[in-house]
Amino acid sequence: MKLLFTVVLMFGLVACQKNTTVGTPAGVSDATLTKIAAAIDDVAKSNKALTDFVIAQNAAGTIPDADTANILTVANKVAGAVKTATATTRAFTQMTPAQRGNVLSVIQAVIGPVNDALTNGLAGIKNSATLAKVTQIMQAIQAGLNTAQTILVAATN
Amino acid sequence: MDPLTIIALINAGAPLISNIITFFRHKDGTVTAVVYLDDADGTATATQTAIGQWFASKGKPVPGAAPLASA
Repeated sequence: MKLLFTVVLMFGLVACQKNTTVGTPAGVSDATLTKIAAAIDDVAKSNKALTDFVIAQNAAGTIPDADTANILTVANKVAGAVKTATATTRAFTQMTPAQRGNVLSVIQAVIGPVNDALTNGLAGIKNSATLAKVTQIMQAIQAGLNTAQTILVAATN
Repeated sequence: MDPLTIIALINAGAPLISNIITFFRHKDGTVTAVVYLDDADGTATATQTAIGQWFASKGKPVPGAAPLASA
C-alpha cells in the first residue's frame, strides 16, 4: 500500500513539473526554480562529500591539519552560502528581479573562495590519489556554483 | 504542511488523502523545488556540524564562526 502511495506521488510530482504556469510570475517558471534548487542541492551534496572525504583523509594522515583546516574553512563558507541561498530561494517566485539578485550575490560570494582553494589551497596534499579526489570534488562544487550562477543571471534579467 | 511532512505521514501509515496530487502542489507551483531546497538545507547543516566537530577536536574555533559567549 505504501509502495502504491509512493508511485502515485512520484507520478504526481512529474505531472506537477509539466504544469509550469500556475501562480508564477512571467519569466520565472517552475522549471527554472527547480533548476536553481537542484543546482544548490548539487553544491550541498558535493560540499558534504568533500568535507567527509577530507576529514577521513586527515584522520588517515594523508592530508595535514593545515590543509584540512583551509579546505574545511572554504567548505564551511559554501555550506553557509547554501543555507542562505536555500532560505532566500524559497520565496524566489515572489521576488522582484532586484531581490532575486541577492540570491545570485550569495552564490557569487563563494565562487571566489572555492576557486582560490582549488588554485592555492591544496599544496600540502602530497598523496596524488587524495589530491586528485579532492580536486575532483571541488571541481564538482565549482561546476554546481557556476550552473546556479548561470541560471540565476538568466532569471534575474 | 510541506511535502516532506506529508511523505513522512504517509510512510507512518496515515490514511489516504483524496486528491493528493493537487494537495502536493504548492500555490506557487514549487513542489519539486521545495523538496530540493529542504534536502540542500539539511545537507548543509550536516556539513557544518561535521566541520565544527573537526575543529573542536583540534581545539580550535571554526574560522569565521561567531565565538561562543563566555560564562
